[in-house]
Amino acid sequence: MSQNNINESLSLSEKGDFMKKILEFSLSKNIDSKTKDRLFRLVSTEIDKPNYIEIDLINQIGEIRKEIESIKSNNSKNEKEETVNRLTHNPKFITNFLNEFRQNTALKYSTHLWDNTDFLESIESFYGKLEEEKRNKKFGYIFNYNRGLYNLLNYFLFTPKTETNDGIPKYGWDGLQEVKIGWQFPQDLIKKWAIENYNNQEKGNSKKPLEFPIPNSLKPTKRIKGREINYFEDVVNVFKTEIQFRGEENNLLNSIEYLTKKFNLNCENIAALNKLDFYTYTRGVINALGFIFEYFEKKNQSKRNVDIKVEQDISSITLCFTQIDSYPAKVLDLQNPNIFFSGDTNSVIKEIFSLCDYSIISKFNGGNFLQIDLLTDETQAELDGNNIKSVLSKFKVMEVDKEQVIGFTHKLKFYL
Amino acid sequence: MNSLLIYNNNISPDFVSDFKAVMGEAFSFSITNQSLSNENFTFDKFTTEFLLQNLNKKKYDAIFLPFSLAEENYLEFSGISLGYHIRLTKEFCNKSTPIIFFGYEDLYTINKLSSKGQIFFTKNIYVTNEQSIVNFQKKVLEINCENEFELRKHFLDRIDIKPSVNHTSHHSISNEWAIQRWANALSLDSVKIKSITENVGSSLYYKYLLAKYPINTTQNPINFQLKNKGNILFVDDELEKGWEEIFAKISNVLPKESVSFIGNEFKGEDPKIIEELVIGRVIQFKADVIVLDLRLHEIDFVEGTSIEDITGYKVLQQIKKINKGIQVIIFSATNKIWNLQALQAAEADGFIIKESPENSVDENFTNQSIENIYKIIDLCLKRSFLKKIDTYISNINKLISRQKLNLEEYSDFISRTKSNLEVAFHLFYNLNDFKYKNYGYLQLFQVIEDFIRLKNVFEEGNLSYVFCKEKKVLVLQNLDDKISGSKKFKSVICFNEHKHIYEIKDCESLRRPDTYYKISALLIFRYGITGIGKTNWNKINKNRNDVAHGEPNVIVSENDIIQIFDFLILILDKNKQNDRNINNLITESKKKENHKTTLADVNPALEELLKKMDKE
Amino acid sequence: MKILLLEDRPERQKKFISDKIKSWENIFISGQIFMPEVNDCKVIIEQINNYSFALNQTFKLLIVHRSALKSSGISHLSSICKEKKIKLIYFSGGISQTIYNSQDFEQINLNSTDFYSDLLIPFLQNFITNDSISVLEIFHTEWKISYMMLYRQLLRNLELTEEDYDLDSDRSYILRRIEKIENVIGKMKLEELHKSIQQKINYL
Repeated sequence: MSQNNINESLSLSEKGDFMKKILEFSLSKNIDSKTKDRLFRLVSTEIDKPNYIEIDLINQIGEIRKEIESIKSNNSKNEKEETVNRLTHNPKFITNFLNEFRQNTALKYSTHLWDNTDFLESIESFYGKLEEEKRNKKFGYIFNYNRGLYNLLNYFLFTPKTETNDGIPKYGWDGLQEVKIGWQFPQDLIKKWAIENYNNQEKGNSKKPLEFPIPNSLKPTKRIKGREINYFEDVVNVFKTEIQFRGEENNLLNSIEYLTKKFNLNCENIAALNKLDFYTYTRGVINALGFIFEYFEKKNQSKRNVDIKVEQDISSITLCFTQIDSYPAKVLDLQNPNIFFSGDTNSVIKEIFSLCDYSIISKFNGGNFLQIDLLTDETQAELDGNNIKSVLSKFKVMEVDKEQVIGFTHKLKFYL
Repeated sequence: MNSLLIYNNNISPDFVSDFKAVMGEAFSFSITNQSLSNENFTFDKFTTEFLLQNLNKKKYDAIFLPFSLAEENYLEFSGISLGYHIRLTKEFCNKSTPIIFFGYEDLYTINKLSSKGQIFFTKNIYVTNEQSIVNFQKKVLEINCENEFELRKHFLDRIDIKPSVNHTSHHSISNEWAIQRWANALSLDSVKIKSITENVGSSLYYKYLLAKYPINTTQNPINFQLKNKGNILFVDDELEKGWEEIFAKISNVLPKESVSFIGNEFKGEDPKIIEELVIGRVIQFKADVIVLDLRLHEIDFVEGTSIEDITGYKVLQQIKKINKGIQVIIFSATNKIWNLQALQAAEADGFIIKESPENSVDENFTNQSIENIYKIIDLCLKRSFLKKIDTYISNINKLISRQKLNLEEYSDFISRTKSNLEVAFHLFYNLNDFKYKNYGYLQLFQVIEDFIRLKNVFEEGNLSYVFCKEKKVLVLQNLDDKISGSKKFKSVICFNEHKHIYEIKDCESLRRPDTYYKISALLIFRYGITGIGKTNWNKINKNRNDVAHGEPNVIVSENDIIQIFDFLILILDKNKQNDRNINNLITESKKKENHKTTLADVNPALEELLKKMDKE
Repeated sequence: MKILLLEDRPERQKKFISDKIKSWENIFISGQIFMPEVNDCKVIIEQINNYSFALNQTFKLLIVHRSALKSSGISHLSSICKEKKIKLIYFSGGISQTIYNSQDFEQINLNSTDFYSDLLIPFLQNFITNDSISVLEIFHTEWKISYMMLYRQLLRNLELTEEDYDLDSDRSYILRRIEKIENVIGKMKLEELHKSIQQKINYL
């Protein structure tokens, strides 16, 4: 049998057996030394050959890997399908993910001016790094934490599932329907432009993606946050305010100012919010605050004063919005707190789910001064489609010092 | 209505919508931070692109512009700057469109605050203080929409755009100016298109120049060609800006292997490296003519640099050290006469001066410049023959310096020869004037005559000898009749009338030995040559006589010059001595001459002293 | 030290200070301005271009010759200035239009003739005493007029903008811009503005 034939026709175990048989045979007494030698040589050269053992092993490992991958993806698919109707409250994950926008990552350069970093050598290498980070930073998990943020990020960075009509997307960003463009959507729009104007140009003359002029067909018909959207940089600037309360733009303070005016409330120490700067899904937070203020107005028309407290340390920032001297009339059943919390606080929770921990502090009927945690790590929410149907909260309750309580407080704790 | 509004984020969006609904179109102008952070960003380039990419598709009846398009610093008056660009951008279809500026400011205020106010005194520019749709509509109906107007009379004469302060930008503009003018004259379209995308082409000052001195496309296209041949090397660090194409066109009649370019590889290199790169190419390519840009490195642009420190100057010096005959044409924008004189003193062979905007006032300047380029390159190609001459001279100088002959007389001979050769070189420089060529030839012949006067070459007297190696050969005896006074010589060589050369044969002659005789004798007995026709000596002597006697229509040719140089190399080389022809002849033993001159001969006293010292 | 001035073409500066040597040297007496010699300056500029430049002093203002920087240097300085809230002045012979921007941090791009003007020395002196002044003060003696003209432009455009009661209404953004200006020059009505501006112009 020739060497090649051995390799081609036998599997690893068969070869092993065969070698074994040869050795056994050669050790038997009937063989002359010459033949013994030949057989020994045959076996030793076969064993010495690295190829046939390794190739087979490598192939086997490959197969096993593939299997694992498919199991994994099935699992995650299943996970998604399973949890597609269930969200988990995980603000820390979201904060960590959003903080990647200021590390030396492709995410950072999706919102910053481009310079000479190596993965910005070409538009393709940037997209490659972005996809890599999408996997490594587990972007997909956000789908199970906050849908709104997930959709926004997906639209801005990746490819949302939206039909296009002649290249113009049917839907835009959540809450900003006029903005219909992202780094990779509509597909190849920026990529093609960047290949011509960025890749293929000398460094001194190249145009960076942020200089991409938005085509007239995709330009919003009105200004977005006070600015005309002429270039992709304008889109990026809008995005930045969607994922961050920014000190320079003071968007948190401005939003609260707007809300107090809208609901005719009086806020003495609104300046506490001045220049606050942290990453979060701002739209969700502002919507939630909108509900909070709306309820202040509805619940107690006579109490128009709102107090704002800001507490900040290394790892978190806590905002407390209190309607002064306003306390709930409804009775709180400590055994079944969820009856108390329906409709109203649910709207707030739906907006800030996974963005911050949420608690209510108040004096309740019966003279208890309590803090009730509505959104904590163990909270889950059931979905109906993309919307939260019901919240499965554990409702931790604890007593608080009555001196601290000056009204009905909504406490939002953001992680940094 | 068909008006255009250009606005920024300070202008009310409702106002903009109303304008769009009633009056035409509106376009937003803003500069991104990303653009601003580019090292090559200029407002002019950004604005030019803005106009050509967005607003060049149709002609409007009027353009409404706020005085300021800056969001934060009103006094930048960027709206007014945009107005200038509208008027001066050649490719913009709305160049002549009436512009209506709006804002609370009056013209007095604007002119007090900024120097950009001249535009308001030109035709088709209007101003309104009321920002409202009704007022705008009124304005459009009021203005006289004379679309085209004579730009020169009604605009260019009223405004004045200042050139850039920056020496580098100024150079860029002049450079681009020259490229565009010459490319146009040579019908090189690809170069024209380049300029629009370059920074320079979009600069307001450049556009202003272009409008003031328009390139006349109807002028006769240039139809010159180079007549002479040779290897041309073009050295310029801005080849890719258009110079390579221009020079390629100019030299297109030459085969590709005869034309070389160097300059793109200079980027980022030190001046010293640039010099080395150029010299390396000069040698490897065997350049005959070099068109050499003067400023090859950033450092050459620093104000106050003296000409001697400029890279091109240093390259020129080095090239001339290699071979003085290599023709170097300096290519520069300089108009400083002292620089040109310094370059001339450093032996630059010609100048090509880049056309600058001031020159272009004269319509014919461009064509004349280009004609001049062809002429100077042709002349230098012709003159590159001097390369050979320099090589010969260099070889001869080396040859005679190496050899050690009789001390005192010989070193004088060496310096005289060097001097004669240098003079000859300078005479040959004036190729076009034949009389200088002829004089140069005489100068070379002078060396021959000087040579045979050397004591150990030809000794003239009653007995005349030729020296070969250590032997002395009697060639001529003076048999003058003292009584009758007639001259008579006995010679060992005789002139053959048929062959027109001297041959070994005893004979008598009535003629004094002249140079022709002496050299012939030298050739036969010192260099062992019998068929001296091979050495071209006859031709050389004839040329010399014709020139010296002022024969009409005599012009020595390049071949003649080479002949005489070859001849010099032959006779000046002591190793070429060959005694094969002297065996049968009278030779006086040179026992005395064999005796080498010693110190004792020259200074016996000193010799004694030395001997004493040795003993001690 | 408060001010870092990077000029790698000393000849140009020499020309400028030739008739004002005393007052020029005076501003350095305070020790608040660091202007390295040409060679050191070039080293620093190379560091900036290589992203290896780190500001270890508490500078409040950087003044840099823009043409010496590459795009990498410009973006490096931008991130430093943004992070540490430092003001930035770029000057260059090749800048044909002044551009001012205060989005992330205050910066102004000036032509070198405008930089080396009568305003430079007074500006530097002022900044040493009060580092909260705007870099606009180097641009024009009447920098306040710039704010005032901007103010009245915004007031007019505010009039033309309808109220729409949305969080991100266009009107609110214009109002915020107006507020920023009012923080610098105080609150004024349109009539007052016209008068003030006219007065200032008449005395220019």
